[in-house]
Amino acid sequence: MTDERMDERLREYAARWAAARPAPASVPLGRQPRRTGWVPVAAAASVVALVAGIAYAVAPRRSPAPPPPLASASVPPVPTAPACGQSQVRGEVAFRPTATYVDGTLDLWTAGPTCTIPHVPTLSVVGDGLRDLGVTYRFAGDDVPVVLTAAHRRLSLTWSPPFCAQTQVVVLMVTIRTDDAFRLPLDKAALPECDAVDRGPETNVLHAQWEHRHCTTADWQVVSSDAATGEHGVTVTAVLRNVSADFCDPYAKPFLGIRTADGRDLDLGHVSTMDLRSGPGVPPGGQVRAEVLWTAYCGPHPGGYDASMTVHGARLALALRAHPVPPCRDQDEDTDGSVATGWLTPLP
Amino acid sequence: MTAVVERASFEEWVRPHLGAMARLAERLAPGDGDDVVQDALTRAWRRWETFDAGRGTPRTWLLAIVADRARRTRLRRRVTVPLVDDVAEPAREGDVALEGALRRLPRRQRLAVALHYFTGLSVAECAVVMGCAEGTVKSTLHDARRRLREELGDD
Repeated sequence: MTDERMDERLREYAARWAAARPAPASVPLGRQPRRTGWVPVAAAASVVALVAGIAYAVAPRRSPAPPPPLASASVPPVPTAPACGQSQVRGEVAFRPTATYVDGTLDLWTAGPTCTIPHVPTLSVVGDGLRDLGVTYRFAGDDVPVVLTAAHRRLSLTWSPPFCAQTQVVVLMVTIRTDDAFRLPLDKAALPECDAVDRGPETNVLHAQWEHRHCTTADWQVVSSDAATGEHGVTVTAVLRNVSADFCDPYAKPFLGIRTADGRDLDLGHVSTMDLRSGPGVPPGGQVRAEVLWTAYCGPHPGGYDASMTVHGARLALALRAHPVPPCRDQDEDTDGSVATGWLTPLP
Repeated sequence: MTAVVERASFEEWVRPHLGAMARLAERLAPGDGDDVVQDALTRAWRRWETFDAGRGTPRTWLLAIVADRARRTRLRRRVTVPLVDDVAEPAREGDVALEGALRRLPRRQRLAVALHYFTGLSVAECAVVMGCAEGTVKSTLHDARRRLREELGDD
C-alpha cells in the first residue's frame, strides 16, 4: 500500500467515523448534566453550572490503584489558613489615568494572621448613592482561594475605556465574600473629564491581574520530593516553599533530566507547552507542587536512572528504579521514546 | 448582568468549534469524549482571558485544551479501552483493523492523525495545537501512515 493510498483510506474512514456521530450542537441546551455525559455549553458557561462543572470534573469516578512509591520522601500536609475575618482585610487602591485608559493597583493584606479568602475579590465601581456604574469586571486567571498575609498582595487594574468623571463620588467596592465587602474611594482626579465620545457604562471593562515576580533559586526551598511509577510512566514530584518576601510567579515550567545507569542522557522529547494556567502567584511562605510526568514509551533502560528536576532554578536529585517499558522500534518518534511533561500547581 | 453577557459571548465564541472538540476528544480518549469536552469547556471558560489571538485561532486554542485534558484524563483513569467497539457502523471490511492500529500509534502520531484526519485541521493548524513546526507535523503524519501500512499490510 502506498503512502497516498493510506492517506486516502484514512480520509475515507475518518469521514465515515464522523458521520456516525451526532454533532454536539444538536444536543438540546439546558439538559441536566449526567454522570458520564455531555454538559451543555450554556450550563457550563453559567456561574452556577461552572461551579457544578468544576466539582463534576474533579470528582473521582474511577479509583486506580496507587502506584508503588520508588524513591520517596513523604510530603508533609500543608496547613490551610483560616478564612479571613470581616475586619481583618485591608485594602488600598490607586489609579493613574492615561490617554485612553486608567491604570491602577489594588493592594490587599491582613491586619491579623495569615488567612484565606475563598475567591478572587469581586470588584465593582459605584457612583452617587452607590449606583452601580455598570463596569464589567474581568479577572485574568484562576478564581481560586487566595491566601492573604501581612505582605501586600497587589492586583494590577486596567479600566478601559474609562468612565468619565460625571459623578461626585466614585467608590471601588471590593467584595471579599458574599457578606463581606469594603469600599475604597477613588480620587476623582484620576478619572478623565467627560467628552463628546460616547463612553457608556456597558463598554467599560475593569481588568484585574495578580502581580508577581519570577523568583529564582534563592527564593525557593525544597520541602520534599517524590517519584512514583504507574502504567504510563514515572511522575516526579517536588514541593517547594517560597522563602522570599515577594509573590512568586508559579507558571515557569519544571524541567527534568534523566541519565541512565550506563551514563547516557535521555533525550526527552519535549516539555509540554500546553499548560495554560495563569492565576495568582505563590505568596511568601506559600508552597507549590512541581510535577513532571516522564513517559518512557520504549526501552530497555536496565539498572535504573539518575534524575534531576529543575524548577525555578532550584535543582534536586532523585534516584529512580527501572520500570518496565516496551521495546523500542525504529519508528518511535523520539529518541528513547521518552517524553516529559511538566506543570506546576500552587498548593492551598 | 456581567455574568450573563460573558456567558452569551463565551457560548457564541465556542459554538462553532464544538464539533471539532468532540471529535478530537473521542479520538484521544475513546469512551471519555464527553467528559473531556466538559472538562475542556470548564477550563476554557476559566482561562478565557489568557487566549491570545496573536498565537493562534480560537479553534486551535480550544483543541489544544482538549488534547491536554484528554491526555490527563487517560493518565488519571488508566482505562484499558476495547479496540473493536468504536468503529463506524456498519463496519466495513478492514475498519476494525484500522481502528486498532490507530489506537496503537504513539501518542504524538495519534494526536497528529486525530487533528488532521478526524478533526479536519490543516498542517499549519496542527502545528499550532501540537506546539511544533509544520515540518514536524508532516513527518509525524508520514511516520504514522508508514506504521499503519506496516501494521495493516498490503490489504
